[in-house]
Amino acid sequence: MGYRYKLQLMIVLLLAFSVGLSGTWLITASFDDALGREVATAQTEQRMALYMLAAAGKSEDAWISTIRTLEQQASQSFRLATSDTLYQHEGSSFSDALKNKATAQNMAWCIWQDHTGAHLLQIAGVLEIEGETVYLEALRPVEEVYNARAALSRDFIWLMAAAAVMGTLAAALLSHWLTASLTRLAETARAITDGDMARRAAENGQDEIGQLAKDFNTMADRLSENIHALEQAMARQEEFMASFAHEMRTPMTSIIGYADLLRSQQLPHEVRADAANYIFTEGRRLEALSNKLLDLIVLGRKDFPRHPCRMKRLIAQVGGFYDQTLRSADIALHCRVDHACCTVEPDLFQTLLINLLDNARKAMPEGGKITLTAGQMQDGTWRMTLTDTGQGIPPESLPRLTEAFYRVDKARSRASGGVGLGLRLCAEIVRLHEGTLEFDSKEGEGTTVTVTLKGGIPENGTESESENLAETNAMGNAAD
Amino acid sequence: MLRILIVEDEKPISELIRMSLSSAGYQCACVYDGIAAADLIEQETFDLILLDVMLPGADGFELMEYIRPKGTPVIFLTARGTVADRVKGLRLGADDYLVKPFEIIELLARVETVLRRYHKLDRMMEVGGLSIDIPSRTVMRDGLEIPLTKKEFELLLLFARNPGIALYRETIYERVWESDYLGDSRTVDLHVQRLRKKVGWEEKLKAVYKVGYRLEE
Repeated sequence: MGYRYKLQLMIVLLLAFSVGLSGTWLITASFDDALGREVATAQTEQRMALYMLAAAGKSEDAWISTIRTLEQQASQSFRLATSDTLYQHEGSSFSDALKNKATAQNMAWCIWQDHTGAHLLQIAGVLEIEGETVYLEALRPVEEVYNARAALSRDFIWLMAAAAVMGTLAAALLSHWLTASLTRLAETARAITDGDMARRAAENGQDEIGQLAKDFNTMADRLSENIHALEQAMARQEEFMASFAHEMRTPMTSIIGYADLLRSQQLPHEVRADAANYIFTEGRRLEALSNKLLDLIVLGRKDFPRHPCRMKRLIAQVGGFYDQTLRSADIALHCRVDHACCTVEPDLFQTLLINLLDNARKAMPEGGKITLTAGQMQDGTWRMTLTDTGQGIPPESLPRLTEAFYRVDKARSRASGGVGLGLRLCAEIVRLHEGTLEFDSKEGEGTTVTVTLKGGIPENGTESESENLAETNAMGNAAD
Repeated sequence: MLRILIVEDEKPISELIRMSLSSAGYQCACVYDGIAAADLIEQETFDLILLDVMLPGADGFELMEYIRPKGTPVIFLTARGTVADRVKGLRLGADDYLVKPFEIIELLARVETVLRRYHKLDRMMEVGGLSIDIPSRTVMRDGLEIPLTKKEFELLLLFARNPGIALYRETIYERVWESDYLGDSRTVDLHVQRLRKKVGWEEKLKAVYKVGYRLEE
């Protein structure tokens, strides 16, 4: 049974109970009142009759005539008795219930029903007249009082019925009105369950239901935000997987194809050497791809400990072991780095720097200059800019640089052994440091990469012991 | 000689296809991006185009716009083997769809199938003293017909189309029986023995140790 019907039933039951109780009380009270008045009247008349009997003296005939006179005037009928019954009104029957109950001081009375079912008030009084005890009993019909009560009860039942009908209607309306907002809320919930994520409940009213609707909407908002984020993540993942499959299959096609060629055909020496070389370089490409991919996966999973490091030393280490590569590519590296510290994971920072230097080197096949500027900023961040004099990046490619497997020039990237994950890796590292990675480029003139990291510490900043340890590690890597 | 255009931006793969097709007797031209491909397609006529889907410049699907008016048959090459991609390629008018990585023998078979569909290949082949009529599936030696079973004919055709190439038992099994090779070489050996005897290739059809068989040129 619905909450609405429970509420309706409760209202109707409560209404019926209260109306019934008060009606019954009213009827009872009015009946008691009417009956009381009848009794009082009967007592007054009885007292008067006894008084008149006393005035008539000790004479049975006088008594009887007095009674007869009284009967003519009043609507009562009498029975008069001493030791025997002296007089009884013709056609009236008296109850014997009051025998010996009345005394000279107190009258007794009772109500009984005769054989027709009519209610009669019988009242008895005792009188001592000159040593003789006289019993006078009077009968007074009180059927009207009972009739009035019956009539009132009948009317009241009709009233009850009407009240019940009206009450049911009113309760239905009331419960409908009360539960309507709940019903709407339930509908909204079902709509959302069926996939209509944009549906929201109407938030009218400051009452509990209004609050519930508000809370419900907040919950739905949060839920749809989460779902949206999940869907986006899924889409990114799928995109990544599709690109990854492509990146895997391309070298695999070459490897399988050339291997197939070599095993099944007698080829001239040069062709065989070419084929073997393709298998080798494409195998290397797969290796590079799996290495970079592994780096990315590791970055995505781990929570790296960061600590304050002397950035100048980290950069100098990278410059030291990258120097030979740059020199053989005819590239000059100019560094301007202040003595500030920054909270970083040293290995990751060096990976970032190597990737950026690598990109700059690849952008300058004919040689050139790389300018590296780094230091503490006014706003407390640590910033590093890397400017090369390479061929630059077309503006439409700038926003896509950090996408996995995106390459500005696929042929050039392939020739220099790129797999399209370098900047993706850089972006991940910067994200782990809660920093930003920005690119600015002019085609034909060069590219500037800006890395901004939080947690810069000015020159006099404290240096923790763990930093020294980390630097030793990094130096070990550099020596490798 | 039939001319085939290879549009593939990956140099190693392009080279691989060119080598294989050249040794199978086709003349090949290679281009490495979509724009060069569009230019070449407008200027020259080819019998078949092998088209990579993901290309710099213009992608393979866009290139179909240039190719369709010329009616040149197209086989798509792609690393993206999703059903949606396949359907899109075929709906755009490609004749076949080859997913990387593919085997050379598979590529050659698809090329031949498409060319035959366009009646660009001879109906007759003359190999090792046999004349093979492919549509009617008859084999003649010195004017006498040699009756062959369906599998034997397919086997003969496979060798005839790949002369001088060592065919691995699993390759033979997969191409002729069209199901995965489960390591049972007896089926292939048995059929090769019977074929040798029937067509008189006892000397020409050589067993290659640990590999399979090769038809001497």
